[in-house]
Amino acid sequence: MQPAIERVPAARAPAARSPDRVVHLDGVTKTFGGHVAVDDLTLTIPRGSVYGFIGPNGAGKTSTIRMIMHIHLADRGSVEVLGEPAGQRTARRIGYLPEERGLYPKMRVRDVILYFGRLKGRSRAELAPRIDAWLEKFELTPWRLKKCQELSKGMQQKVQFIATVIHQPELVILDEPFSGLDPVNTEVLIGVIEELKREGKTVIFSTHVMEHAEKLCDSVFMICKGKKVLDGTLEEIRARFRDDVIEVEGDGERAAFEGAPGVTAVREHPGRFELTVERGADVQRILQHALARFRVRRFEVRAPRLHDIFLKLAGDDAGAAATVAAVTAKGE
Amino acid sequence: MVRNVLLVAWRDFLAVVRTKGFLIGLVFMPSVIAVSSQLPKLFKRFGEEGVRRFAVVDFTGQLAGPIEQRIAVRNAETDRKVTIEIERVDVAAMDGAAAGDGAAFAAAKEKWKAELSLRAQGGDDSDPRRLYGFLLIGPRVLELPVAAAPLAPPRKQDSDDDGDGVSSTDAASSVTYCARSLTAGDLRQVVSGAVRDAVRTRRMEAAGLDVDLVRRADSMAGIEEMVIGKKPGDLSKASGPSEAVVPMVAVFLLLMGVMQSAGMLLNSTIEEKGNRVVEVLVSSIRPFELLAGKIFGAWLTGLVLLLAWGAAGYFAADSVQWIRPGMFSGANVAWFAYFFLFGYLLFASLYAAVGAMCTSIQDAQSFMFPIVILIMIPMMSLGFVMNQPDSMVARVLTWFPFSAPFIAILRLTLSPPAPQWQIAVAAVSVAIGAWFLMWAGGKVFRIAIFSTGKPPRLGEIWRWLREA
Repeated sequence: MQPAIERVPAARAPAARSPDRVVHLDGVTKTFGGHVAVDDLTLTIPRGSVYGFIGPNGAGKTSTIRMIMHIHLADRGSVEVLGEPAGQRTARRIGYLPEERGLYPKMRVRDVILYFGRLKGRSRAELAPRIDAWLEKFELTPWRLKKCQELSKGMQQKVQFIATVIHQPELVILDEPFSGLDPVNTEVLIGVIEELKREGKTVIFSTHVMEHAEKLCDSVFMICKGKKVLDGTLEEIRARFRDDVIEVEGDGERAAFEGAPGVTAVREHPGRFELTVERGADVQRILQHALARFRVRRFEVRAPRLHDIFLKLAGDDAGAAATVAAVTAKGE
Repeated sequence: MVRNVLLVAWRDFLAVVRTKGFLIGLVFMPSVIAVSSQLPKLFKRFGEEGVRRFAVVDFTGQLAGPIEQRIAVRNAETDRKVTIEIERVDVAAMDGAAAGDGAAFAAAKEKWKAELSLRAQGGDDSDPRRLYGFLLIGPRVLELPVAAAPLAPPRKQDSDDDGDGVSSTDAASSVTYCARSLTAGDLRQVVSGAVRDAVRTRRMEAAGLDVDLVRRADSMAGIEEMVIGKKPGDLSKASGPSEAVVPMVAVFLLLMGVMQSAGMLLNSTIEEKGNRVVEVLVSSIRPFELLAGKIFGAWLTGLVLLLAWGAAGYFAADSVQWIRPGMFSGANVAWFAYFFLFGYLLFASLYAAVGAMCTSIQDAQSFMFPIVILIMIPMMSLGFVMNQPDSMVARVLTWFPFSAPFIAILRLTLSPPAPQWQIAVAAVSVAIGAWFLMWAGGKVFRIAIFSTGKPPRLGEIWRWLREA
């Protein structure tokens, strides 16, 4: 049996509360057996943001989410959700789509959504019209009286999503919401998340698909082996990684770039060169250096894709801690 | 809090009650009771018909007539579908045998056996002369034995000696019954009863006894059975089967109710664990609310079954006057309800804990084994307790939490009912057991419900109990 959850009450330090933040983790550690799932994590999620949790499998994303949901209790540190310590009361104000989806196979679509909504404290009268509206939105109206087991996997996924948001939570947490959805339904879900954001809801979602994170998120938090390796707005992160690689096309020799200020490595590709540069290197000076020795047709500081950052950080744990120090220097 | 418990309970209840299996179970038992009470009539109605022909080889020359008369009386009974026909075989031709000469009789007997067997074996049922069986009555059957058998409990007299191991003298004073089947219908009893009756009558006549007088001397009204109750003058008429059957059925119903509920609980817990609904549930309500709701919901399903079966059983038993007054007094019904609730809670907490630890029924089976043993203890001791209701063992079983609910109900409906103080001890014992197991089971449930992978080892469970 894998680590079971030991519900040991966490020692909670009184934290300063701010109306601008929806979730605040302060020095949170969670251990299962001998395995440290989350290690001294501090994280703040501002109200109204769409926050992406990324990281390799087993990095601690789900454990972090479960602590926010009060399903796991932190061994150390404090978890504050919606202005109060995480608990049963806060959990009911969150819409939570677990990574492992589950519906009652023999229950009707409408009944299962109603049941989950009522467990969150809403009344039947309140829920009924909303359920109909959501089913309509996801084109599930013809299926509303069918048993869940009669639905395709994608449809079940949509039903589960409706059950997650039906009680109009202020905070929505989606663990891998896109897994198992076809491109059409993925677009529908992306639209819904954007809508939630427009309504001022805070959305946290975890994903492996970096394009989704890039498309939807204001901010991204990356966890690796229980430690935070990246946390900031997308712009901040891009800015931090922007000057990593410069692509140059034109006529000339490789030697033209050797000795350029801040260039640490040169890779030659057919028709172009890829320059790896030091962090904080002066791109203008590199360009001047190149212009003097090389006929430049194109000179581009490559916009870093989240995908590359992910690969770099996930594959390079040793450097990770150092990266955090640099990247998380964001306003708090 | 209460709202959440009720929400969970109601969903679980509906989920079970709406299944076809439950509805079938609901009507199945009452139907079995109804059908089994009608079955004998039905069998009679569609039973075998026709004529069974027996040859009677009477070496005494005096018995064939009386046997024939008795069979005729039996054939005349209204609901007989099978009639017995007697064919008298003339043995006068047989010199010496009729006189009781041992060796001559033995030879004659063998000859008749062979010949008559052939007539029973050959042919088909349409042949009116085809024999079903035959009787060989020895020439000295009517002679009185030299010494009477010592007064002893009546023995069954159904040895069908075929002569080999019997001396010729014995053979001469014995009757041989041969038939195509010794088990089909009541032919053997009817025919040998007729023989015995005829022999007895002839012997009495030979001894100069007044046959009519002896018959009257034999006849006697049945023995009336009464149960002495607790209060002065409290005598109630017992009607045979009710004394044992009704208490057994009451215990059986209680067991079915408990097992139905606990089984449902196990299934629904494993289902939620297996299909991951549980994570949504515990992110909405407390694990304790979930557990309480599930236990309550499953109990309701058992209650519905129990009410349906119990009502059917009660009316069935009442219609044949098997219910002794006081057997289901208000107090006893209240005890029954009490033991159903607490007996169920006792097992429910175990089942819920097992369900929470497993993601499939297969996983659960190894954990279920010791629990099933606990259930078997009271079931296997029912007979013993019924015979010795106030023995030390019976008392201990009344007080042992896992057998207490069942044995207490048994002893309450038996006569004399167990003293109230013993039942009260049982009630306390069950309540303490249920409380303890709810505590321990709740702990295991709370931890196990989140666990994944294979079920925990015993050591792990022990650690949870100590730490949580």
